[in-house]
Amino acid sequence: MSVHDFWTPFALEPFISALIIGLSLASIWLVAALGLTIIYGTMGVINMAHGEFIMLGAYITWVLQYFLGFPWLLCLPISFVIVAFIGWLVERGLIRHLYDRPLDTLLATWGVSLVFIQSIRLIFGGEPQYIDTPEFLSNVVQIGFLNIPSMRIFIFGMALVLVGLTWALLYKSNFGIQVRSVMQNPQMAASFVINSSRVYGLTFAYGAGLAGISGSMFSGLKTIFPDMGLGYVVEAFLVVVTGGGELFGSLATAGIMGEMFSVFSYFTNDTFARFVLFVLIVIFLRFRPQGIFTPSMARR
Amino acid sequence: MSTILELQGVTKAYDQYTVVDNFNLQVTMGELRCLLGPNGAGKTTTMDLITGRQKMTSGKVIFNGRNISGMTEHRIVQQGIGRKFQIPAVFKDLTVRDNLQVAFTRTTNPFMNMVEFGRGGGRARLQEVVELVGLEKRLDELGGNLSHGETQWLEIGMVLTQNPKLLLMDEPTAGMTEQETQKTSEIFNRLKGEHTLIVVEHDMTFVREIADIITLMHLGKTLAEGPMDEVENNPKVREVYLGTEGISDAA
Amino acid sequence: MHKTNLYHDKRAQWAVYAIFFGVLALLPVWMGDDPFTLNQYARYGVFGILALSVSLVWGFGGILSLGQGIAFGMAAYGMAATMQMQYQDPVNDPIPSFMLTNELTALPTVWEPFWNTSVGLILSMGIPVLFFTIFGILIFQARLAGAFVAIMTLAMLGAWYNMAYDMQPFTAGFNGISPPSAFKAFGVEVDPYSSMIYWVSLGVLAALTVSTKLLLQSKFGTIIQAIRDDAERARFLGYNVAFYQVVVFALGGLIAALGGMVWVIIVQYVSPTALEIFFSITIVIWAAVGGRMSLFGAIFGAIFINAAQSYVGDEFQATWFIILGTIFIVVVRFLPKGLAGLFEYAISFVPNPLPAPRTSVNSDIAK
Repeated sequence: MSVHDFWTPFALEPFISALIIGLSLASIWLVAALGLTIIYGTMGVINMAHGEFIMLGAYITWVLQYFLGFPWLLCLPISFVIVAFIGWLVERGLIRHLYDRPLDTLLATWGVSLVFIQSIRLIFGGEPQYIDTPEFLSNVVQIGFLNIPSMRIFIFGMALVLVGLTWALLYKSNFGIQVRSVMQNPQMAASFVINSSRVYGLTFAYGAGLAGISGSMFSGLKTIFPDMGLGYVVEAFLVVVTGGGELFGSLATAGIMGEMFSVFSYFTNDTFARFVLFVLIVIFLRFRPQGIFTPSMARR
Repeated sequence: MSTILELQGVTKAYDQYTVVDNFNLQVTMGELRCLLGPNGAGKTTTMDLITGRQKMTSGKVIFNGRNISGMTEHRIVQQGIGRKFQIPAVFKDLTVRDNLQVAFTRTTNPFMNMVEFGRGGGRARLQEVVELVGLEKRLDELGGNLSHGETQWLEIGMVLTQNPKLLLMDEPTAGMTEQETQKTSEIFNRLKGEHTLIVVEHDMTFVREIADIITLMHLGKTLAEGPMDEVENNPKVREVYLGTEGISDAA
Repeated sequence: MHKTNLYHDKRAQWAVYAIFFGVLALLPVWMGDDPFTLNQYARYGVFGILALSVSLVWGFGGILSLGQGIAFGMAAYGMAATMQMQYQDPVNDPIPSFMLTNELTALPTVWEPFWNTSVGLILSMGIPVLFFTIFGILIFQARLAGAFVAIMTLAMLGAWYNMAYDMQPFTAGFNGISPPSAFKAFGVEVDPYSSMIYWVSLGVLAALTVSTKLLLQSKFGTIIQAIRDDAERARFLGYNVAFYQVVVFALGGLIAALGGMVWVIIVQYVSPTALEIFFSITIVIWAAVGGRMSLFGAIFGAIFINAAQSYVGDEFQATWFIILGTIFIVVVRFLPKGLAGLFEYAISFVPNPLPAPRTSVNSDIAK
């Protein structure tokens, strides 16, 4: 492997393609990280089973389509509802008992993820499954010299829609006011007759539902298999932590990470780009552990 | 008498408000100084600034003739400053004995401590401190199983084990019974002279028992300074606390 | 009048270690010397070593590292390179065959030092420790703790996994490196299917366990537990908390690295699976189930879970992992100190039969 193989010289058109791929990648990471952002940002819970919520969303889509013949687009909202319900159950049964032990939540949700992966493997087998997407999402759109799969455009659009909806829910709705007041001061919120345990349950369910819908979308992009969640969850965590658990922090971080990854991998290769990106994030968090937007806080 | 601690124009400001505002303080070797003031006067913040727990916006802290501003916390402690926190902090999963042994810091180097098996050094000191704070019978108890008063005692004991030149005590008698408070004041009176103490306290009876000089803080500044009687009769103090029972009530 | 729980009596603890390792030493006598069984047991020894590293770093140091696999994997690759180069011939056959298939025409510079076995061993051990030191300084100087550290170590592990996977000409990528001959050092060949491999694995496990136990009984051990309980309090007693955490983290890396080296001697193979996230978290599960706050508990957890897993067999693997996941959830929820904690509770009802230790303040019994 010579230097020449390793280092791709600059050329305008492929570089612009790389930037577009970066945007697409950013939207995928953002969609994967969205539910995690809500759960981490409002509840401080590190949910290691998030990748498995994505996986469940994908399998629900596959089951609905393969066994019941549902059209793909209809599967998205159904995945949202079912996975949200599963998330709600997990919160009820396990996570609510661990709110004062954040590290244990991380571990317990890893246990949950193990159970989900292996249950799916037991039921559906370990082999990859494929999904049919509608005609208009299976072709490639040509803009100038760029060939962009329409599925990627769809996911990009959906990412923006989901961010918008989540923003409206958190900052414009009555529920959002409750979530934010519970977040800031649970005791005070309780004195205003906000049922914080209900709010936590619903917030977790919503975050899980977002993972479900992202799993549905990813099923149109890649094959699905029981441990597919791991492929998304590390990047999703980095987006969330670097973004400080804030909605727009995640948006910005996903954008920057996607573009940086794509540009690095244009010049070098995917693996090296990922390595450099991870190392940069570790160094970034060394200096700004509170994330990109959150103002620096006084020490304890 | 020489000055052991001097704060020069120490200021801590956040975006909107200033918690400690150009605060000056001089503490003499062997003195016991009480820091009083209502909530939000900046007492605990001042202790944080002395010990480097918060970074000051401007100003200087001179300890033992050395500028310690900007040093990391453990370096400041190593200069000879011990601190008891407002919310008592002990090691909950360690026994009382181990808590005190950790506080006995002949060396803080990790590699030196790997070959230190608790024999020799410090035994006499531990015995002394344990008797002083009255935890002889609780040595094998976990820190987390102590009563509130005992926890306070243990933390005071830990700070004493450190044997620092300057002891910062943030509300040492909070949650203590009257007898316990009485005993604390006896200890503090024994400590001064040999050690220098700065005590933040709300219990005025206790302050009367122990204090040489009082510094009364208000909105991050010195409002008055001097012996108890003098501060109480200070017209500025009366003005600020007009209509109340004086500083006893405010504190 | 001493009421100390026998569980906390140091004499009893050392007795348990003596019995445990004594039984393990006699195991080949009872179980016969079937080479495959011995090889299997040797693997359990490595799992014990890994759980030991998690127990030290997490149980006693309070640092949840999900990246113990980094040290394990790095050392495993180093060891595989060393063993591979023992097989190659400097004159006639200087380049490992997987490199030739990857169109390399010369041995890469990073592989050169591995011609020398001693240098190879030092690098296999030293590079992971160096990496953990630098990485630890980055993390702990920033005063990151708890879940943050877990996520950072996880991300780092993911990055190294990708590297190992993708740097095919150097690491043989997905296929991994399988050195064709057994490890030789100081004129001795360590046959992975012999009683010798069992002694190597057990010996390293026992030596590391005793060293770690001694370390925890030193003042250093008490201080790291103090830092785990309340880092701020320890800092205000004058300790450089980050320094201690880096040392603990690096020592954990060293133990895991030694595990990785022994592993490759046993299996004569390394692949990116050593760096898989799944594997590293599984190590944490072993330690958590056995009891992270007890070295013995963690080691026991690792051996017990793996023995049970192989007893269940590969065909019921999915079911097994569902059960393991469920056990893990139950342990985290109800038994934070694992099986060792349960044992501690149970034995507290049994009066301590040992004579009372000296009752001076500084008595080092009853820890």
